[in-house]
This record gives sequence, structure tokens and C-alpha cells, in this order.
Amino acid sequence: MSREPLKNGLLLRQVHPIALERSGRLTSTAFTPKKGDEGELSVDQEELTTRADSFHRFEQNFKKRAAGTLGVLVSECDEAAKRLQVSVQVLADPVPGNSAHAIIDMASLSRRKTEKVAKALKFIAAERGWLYPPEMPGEKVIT
Amino acid sequence: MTGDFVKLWFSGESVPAGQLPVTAVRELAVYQDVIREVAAILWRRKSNKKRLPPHFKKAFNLAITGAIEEGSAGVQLACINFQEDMLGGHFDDAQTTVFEVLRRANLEQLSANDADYLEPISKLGAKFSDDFSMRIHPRSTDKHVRVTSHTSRRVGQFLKEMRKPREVDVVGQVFAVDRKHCTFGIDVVGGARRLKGRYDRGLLRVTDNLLEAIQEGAGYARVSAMQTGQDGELNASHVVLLGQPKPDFEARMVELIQSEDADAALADKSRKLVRSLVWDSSLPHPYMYLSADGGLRMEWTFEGPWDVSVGFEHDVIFGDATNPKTCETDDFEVGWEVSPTDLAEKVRLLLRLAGWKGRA
Repeated sequence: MSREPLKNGLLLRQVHPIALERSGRLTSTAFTPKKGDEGELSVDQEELTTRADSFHRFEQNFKKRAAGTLGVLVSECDEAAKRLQVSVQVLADPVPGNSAHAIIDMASLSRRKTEKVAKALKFIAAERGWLYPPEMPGEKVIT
Repeated sequence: MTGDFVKLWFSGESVPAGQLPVTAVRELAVYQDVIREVAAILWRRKSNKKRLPPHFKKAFNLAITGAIEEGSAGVQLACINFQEDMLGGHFDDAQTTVFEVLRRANLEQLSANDADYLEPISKLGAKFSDDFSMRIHPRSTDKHVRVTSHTSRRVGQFLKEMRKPREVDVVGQVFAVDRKHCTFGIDVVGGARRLKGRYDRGLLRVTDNLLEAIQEGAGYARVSAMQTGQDGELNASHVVLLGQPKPDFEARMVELIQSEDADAALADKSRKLVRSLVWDSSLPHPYMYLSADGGLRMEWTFEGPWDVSVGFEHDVIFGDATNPKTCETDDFEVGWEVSPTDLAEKVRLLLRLAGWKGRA
């Protein structure tokens, strides 16, 4: 299946517990591709799935516990990249069992630039707050 | 004030009865200098000031009074030009201190408490031949102490031992170096006590009180700064301090290294440098977690949106400060051979960019 650039929509990112400090504080690791990811940050398109499905699919597929779901808009990714003067593309990347899968492509970025984009995305997502499980009243993402 | 201060008796095969050899004359001047030096140490210790009052040392002068006594050669020394109001009892105290330290040296009972006085006292008897000795009779006591070449050697050997870096128990190493102030500081976290020590020409003076304080505290010592000696930067890896690592920090590090997401070898490799940043009290306390590659990562945050982080990766150590709102950024990349001091300095620069107003 082809990877089409996405123009808009909310992208769901599952946050692994290692991306949280023990105090619950969110770190930029949540938006940093792992070494094996080759610079591609996995997300789900909200318009093709639900927040709950995205969360549980992650836990089921990767046999890992997710700390929660955060979200950034495609336009926010573009804006952050523009401000950081880097090229970041958001591409649809449907995979077997997950047609909503997409990637934030940072493969062309150096380690340094990737770091900065991750911090920017973390900041944006944290301001939006936890999308799933729903935040309790008064609960905020700690940054 | 003037008056008898001490009587010194010289004896040995080379000392004819009633005559004072040149060696003995030279030792009179050494004795005066030793008392001056020890008095200065006592004054600084009591006043907690570095700078001595004007003309402090020159105000104390000894002169030979009376004739050279028969038997062996004995000379009576008296204080002249002694300014009682300014000097107080410091010179008498100094003589008592010298007397006691020499007595302990002869009994081979020198201890770390004597360390401050050994440098000047080691000059006494340093030029004596084996058959030459000096007896010191201070005015303040009817006892005397003998100084021989053996006494001088014992003092010198003990001083040499004291100057070896003390290896007590492994907790952490001394990392930060303050080239200007010849001091190091240790924060005893939880005990809410800040102590300062002194590093003097190769000797890290870790006093018994300091060790006790570390033990009484929450269990770990954080070294803020230490100076270099005259011969350059101290090889800090040889200096360790007594105490226990900060429990939550150490536990967190072990937890991360042992977690299934960690690259254990990479995380383990970064332990030393991570500790250096955590224990450097001139830096704010960082958060610690695993990077996407499974290595240790540290992050500092502030009131504003700035994030400062240091990641320990396979090839490099990477520091970054980013303001996600304005996208102002700065970063550094260094190899693993970087010294803890240099790494701390680079982190400090990023923190300042991020608005941290901590210690310079």
C-alpha cells in the first residue's frame, strides 16, 4: 500500500511507561523513534480508528502496557517542523491489522534534529492532555 | 610583653660542653618559625578567617637571653616585642601544640587531628645527625620533649601517608573541580548540613566529623566542588567518600538498567557520568529515564517550556536545550572520553540558556 502524505487530522500516539519518569512526568522519549524504527514514529489516525481501539491494539500487538494515548494534529507537526526548520512528513502507512497506522517520518533528520522535534511534539501533546484513558477531572500531563 | 618562653637543650657528641654548634643556632631560627606558623594555623582556625592580623608573625620574636649553660648546651629563649593585646595566647598555645605533637610523634601516636600542624613541625630536627638532639622545655610546663632525627622522620612519614588520597569506602567519586578556591563541598542531603573540606597539595582532608555527618545524613554525599593541586587536576577516580548512595537515585538507576527496555551495556557504561551530573550540587537535580535506544537519559525542566536533556548514546553523549514554543535551541555532542567536569560545564551552559539562574 502506498504511503500518502496526510494533510490533517489528529494522530494518536501510544505512550510506553518508559517514556514517563517515575513521578509520572512525561519525557520526550514518548515522541522519539527507537533505533529499530529507522526514524519513523508510529501513530494512528483518529479518523480511521478510536482512541480506545488504538490503545488496546498497542497493548495486544506489542504485549506491552501503554501508559496512555496522546495526540497531535498533522498541522501541528508541520508547524513544529517549520519552526525548527526541518522537514518532517506525516504519511499514511496502513499495515496488516491496522489500517489506521501512520508515521511521522523523521528519517532524514539528524539525531539532534530528531531530539528537538520530539520535544516540540511532547510539548504540544502535553498541552492537549491524555486522550485515553480519559483524564480524571483535574488530571494533567506532567511535563 | 617580654619574658622567658622556652629553654632548648642541645646534646650529642658534636656538642662540646657549654658551646653552641652552628647547627643548633640554625635550629633556634627554625623553632621560632615553627611557632609562628602553628600560631597562624591556630588563629585562622579559631577566627575562621584566612587573613592574619597585620604583622602577626613578625610580632613574635625570640632572642637568646643569658649565657649558654654548661653540661650540654642549653639556651634560654625569651619573647621580645611581644604584643600581648593583639596576639593573645596564640603563641603559647602554639608552643603547647608543637610540644604535644612532638610527644605523640615520639610515641608513634600521631593521628589525623595532627595533620594541620605537621608541615611546619616537620622542619624541626630535619637537619639533625643521628647523634644530635634537642630538648624543648616550654615555660608552661615542667616537662620536656626530645627532638631527634627520628622524630623528624616520623613526622615526615606520617605527613606523606596523610597526603595519599584516602580510600574509605566506595560511594562516589569526586568530580567537580574548583580551580580557584581550593575547597570542596559536600552536601549531606536529608541531614540538611553543608560542609566544606579542604584539598591541599594532594591531600583531601576528609575529617572524622565529615565522615560522621555523611553517615548521619540521608545516606549519600554529594560533592559540589574540589580544587586542583599545584601539580594539576587531581585524578579524582582515586578519591572516594564514605557514605551510601542516595537511595532513590541509585534505585532508579538500577531499575532502569535492569528493565527489559534497557540496553544494559549502554546504560551501565553511562553510570559514572550520570552520577557525576546527579551529584554535582552546582547543577539542579535532573530526572532520569531511558532513551528510545535504551540508554540512560537525563532531563531538566523549568517554569518555562524549556527542556534540557543529556542522552548517553552508543557513540556520543548528546546534550540539547529546546524551547518548543519558540523553537530556540542549542546543543552539544561530545565523545565518551569527556571528563565529568567538562560535561557538567556544557550542561550548565544549556541550563543557563534555558533560564536557570543557579550557581555560576
